[in-house]
Amino acid sequence: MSTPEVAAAAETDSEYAHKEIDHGLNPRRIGDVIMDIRNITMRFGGVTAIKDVSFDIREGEIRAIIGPNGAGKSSMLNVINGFYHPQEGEIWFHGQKRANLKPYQIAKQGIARTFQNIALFRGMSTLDNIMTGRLTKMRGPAMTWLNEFVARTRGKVGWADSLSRDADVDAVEQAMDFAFSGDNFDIDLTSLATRLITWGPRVIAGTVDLSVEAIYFGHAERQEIEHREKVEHIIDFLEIQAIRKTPVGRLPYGLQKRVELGRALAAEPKLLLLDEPMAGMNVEEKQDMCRFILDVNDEFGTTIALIEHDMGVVMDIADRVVVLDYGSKIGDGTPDEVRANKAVIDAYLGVSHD
Amino acid sequence: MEFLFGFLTDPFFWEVVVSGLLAGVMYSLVALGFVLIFKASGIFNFAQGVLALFAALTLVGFLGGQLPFSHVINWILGTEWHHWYEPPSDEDGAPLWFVLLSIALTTGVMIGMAWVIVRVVLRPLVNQEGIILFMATIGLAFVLEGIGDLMWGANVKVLDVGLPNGPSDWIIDTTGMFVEKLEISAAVVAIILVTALTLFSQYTKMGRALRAVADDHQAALSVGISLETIWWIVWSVAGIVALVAGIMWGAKSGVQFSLSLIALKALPVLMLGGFTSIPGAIVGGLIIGMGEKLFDFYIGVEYLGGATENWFAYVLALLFLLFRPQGLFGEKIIERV
Amino acid sequence: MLYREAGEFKTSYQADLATFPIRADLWAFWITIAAAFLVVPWFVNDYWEQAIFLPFFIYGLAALGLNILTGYCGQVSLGTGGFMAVGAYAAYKLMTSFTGLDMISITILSGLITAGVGILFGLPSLRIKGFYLAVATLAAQFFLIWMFNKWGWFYNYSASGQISAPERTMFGVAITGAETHPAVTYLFCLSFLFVFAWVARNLVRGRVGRSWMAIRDMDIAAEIIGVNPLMAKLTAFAVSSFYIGMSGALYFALWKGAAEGTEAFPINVSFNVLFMIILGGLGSILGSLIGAAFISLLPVIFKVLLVEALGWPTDIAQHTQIIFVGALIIVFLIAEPHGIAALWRTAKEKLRLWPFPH
Repeated sequence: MSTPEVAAAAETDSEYAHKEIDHGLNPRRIGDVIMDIRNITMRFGGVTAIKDVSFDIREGEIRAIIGPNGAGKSSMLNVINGFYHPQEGEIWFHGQKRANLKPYQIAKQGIARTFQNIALFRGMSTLDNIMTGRLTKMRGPAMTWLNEFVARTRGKVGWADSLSRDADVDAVEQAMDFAFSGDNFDIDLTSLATRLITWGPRVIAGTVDLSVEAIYFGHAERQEIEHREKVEHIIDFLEIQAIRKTPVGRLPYGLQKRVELGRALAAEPKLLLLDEPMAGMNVEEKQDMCRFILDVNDEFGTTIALIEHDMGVVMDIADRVVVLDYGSKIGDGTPDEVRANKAVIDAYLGVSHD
Repeated sequence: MEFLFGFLTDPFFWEVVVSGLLAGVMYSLVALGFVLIFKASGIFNFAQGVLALFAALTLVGFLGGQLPFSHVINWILGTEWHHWYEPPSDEDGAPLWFVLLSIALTTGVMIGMAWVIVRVVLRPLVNQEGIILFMATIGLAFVLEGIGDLMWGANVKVLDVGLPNGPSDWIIDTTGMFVEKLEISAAVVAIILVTALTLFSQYTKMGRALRAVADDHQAALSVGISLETIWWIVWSVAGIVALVAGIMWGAKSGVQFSLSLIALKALPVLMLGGFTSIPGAIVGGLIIGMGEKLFDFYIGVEYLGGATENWFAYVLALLFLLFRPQGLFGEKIIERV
Repeated sequence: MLYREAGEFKTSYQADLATFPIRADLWAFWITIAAAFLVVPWFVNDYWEQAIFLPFFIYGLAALGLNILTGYCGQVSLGTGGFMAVGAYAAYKLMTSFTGLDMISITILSGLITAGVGILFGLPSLRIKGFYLAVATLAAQFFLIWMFNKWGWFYNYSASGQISAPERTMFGVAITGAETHPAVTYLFCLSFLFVFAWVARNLVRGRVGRSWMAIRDMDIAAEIIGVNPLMAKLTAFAVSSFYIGMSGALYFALWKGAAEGTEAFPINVSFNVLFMIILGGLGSILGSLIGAAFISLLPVIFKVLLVEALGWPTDIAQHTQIIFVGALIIVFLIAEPHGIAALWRTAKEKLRLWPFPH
């Protein structure tokens, strides 16, 4: 399974550098594997949406996932960002096997995404929507202090380790899941108990932070301005200055897509997932969006995994493509390789499956 | 085991169970109206209880020949009118034909009101979020309550449609339990109503249209089903169900404002049974009716100070939902993005 | 022509984040506040205090609380009455158990206790959504009221089952009890409303507020971009209950002086506060206050206008009032779901452009 893939990947790298030079651009830094998806199987009741799919994503590349409708592409993205938990398979991120985390914890690890059907916060302005993207980066002073304390004492004071916020699944939530079971989370009762006890300092820190927000002047205002500057940078980058204060519900479709991209970028993700970023756009809007995606990849070095139906676009901007059909992987490689793949051609041209 | 047998042979236990089940039938009757409306329009009709109150008030008004808005009219015109006809009566109270006529008239009022509600409240709110519609029906509940009071007065009224009263002698003789005849008739009526509704939704063209709308508004519209007509019919049927519930509750404990509060208990019934399931409404009602009586009898009175019926249903439904958010008969929801 | 800025002259993000970007608004705001604190207390009498100001201030606090939960975080609650009762009984227990505590601490502590209870009843919100949650909050309403009615410890086993506020002074001035001057309770409640309206404003414009609104607008997307739904919802429940608890404490100790759970905090209180925020404006601080003023003053207006001026019979006026409120709810939900506050905002926008709208 893995040997031809590795070979293919090696091939991609050399070919890729070559291609970039041809275009007269700087050769981009395609690094090591950042995410490794191994043998994922995802079932809903009797329906198997993803069947034993494996592929990897390398740092700095644009990886496309393509396939006909119902091939399991969106389910795959949902698995990657933790919205679905697959029955089988593993996900390795930054060289570590990932536990069954909640989506918001995965977001904190640096995975951001956009949605097929726009999922903006309709009651808020463009600016506020993008600011929510910074929530993973915002933290009150008391919680920051607590986290630093934990980091300083890590390994030295035993009980302090369990205070760590990012290290583990949130204790209360795990307790709830345990009590009202039905979700398949791995539960270690003793560690759960210690973490519930050490939850106290975190509640106090949270309350202090809430008070800091309540007073606003001072820390909260500084934090607000600091993050506002970052967000303004993204607004400039996406050229949406004029709609900064407009409620997103009033924006045309293409701009909403752009705001959604901005919200995902605001999190400064290591891996950016784009679910059909160009669906329903006209040619001009598509061109704009392509340019933004390439610029994000170029300027911020963000790794991007995207689902797209427009083959022309995919073949133009993707470094490597993985093809799904009926939940199984039928092709993986550079655009040229995939284009030449017999199984892929069959799937797209509709040779009968039997 | 012996502990269990002790329960099963205790006549009090069975009496509590039966009275609980029969009270549960009443909850089910109100819950049924909720389910109908929710299935067909996705609206969580908070006003269903007030609808029952309003129907019962109207029926009392017709039975007594009471002049609607008499209080207002008399105040404006300075008159002393109270009745617009003398209700006929024989030795047993109101004759059957007159009761039936009054019920028919009330049904007409409910159908008319359904039309007004659909035109004035629902049509402008099409495609709004469920929670907005929910709050709108809270507003509707207030309007109906106010109108009911203005029309018929706010005092407690006796509703007598000639349903049998008192404990059933036959049951006392055979089992030694006190069971109200009225509650038995409520159970019978509920069974008839549920059967009729099931037949209606399964075997008539209108019923199929109803289910089509419930599945997908847009799709139903595109094959030429008029949403407004469907809603009108559903709200009319819900109004008639409310009338039945109102008659039963009213005959049992008088027609008064608290009736609409009792009807609130249909909400936990629905949470238990699932909002879209007619059998769920029935089973949920029975479980809650029985559960709250048993809990109060064995635990509430002894250890908690009694009157636990006030909250038991809600807490039970809450706990239940934590474990099974889709209710007893609902389908498991797969969330998508 | 006067009511506008002459262009975009903001030079810092700080200026852009200001609550009142237009100078005229800022002036109007401070003049109103100054008048409320410095002028009105000299004239306030018992009637104005009991019938107009205290109801407005106290329900204003409750409406702010519910609006944080429902308007900002999107969780509909019908348990407001129950939580107000928690605040009231907490205040009573604190006043009778710790006689040395001053009224400010008592009010805030009552709020904190209510926040704890609120968190407890907020836990199901992680698994239950929409009107399922609304019905679940009814459990809080009915259970809490029942508990305060049945369990003697809460009312110190008094024979009447009532709680009544003992007399307390602050800075040597009576603040509860029959001897209290109306200006004292007026200033006390006004201060609480002022401070906590400002706090609410700060909370909703920052980190916490955005995570609430994200959950409200689309909870799944919010979770995927990194909002912890449990924390967002629980903080909303906690902060909301804190406000409602304080309002319950003030209702009992300063306004009514005595209370009985079932009579003072029935489910109708929950509905009334919900109506305040629907009419005033969901997700608006100003709206909470406008709605509270409107609904709490409506009975007074109906009484003065219909009963006293036009001679309507009391019961007809009462029923008309119920119909009026219900109809208004429906009309607003249809025509302006963001309430009176949105009308006000639109009017200001228009005024800003006047007289050259294009």
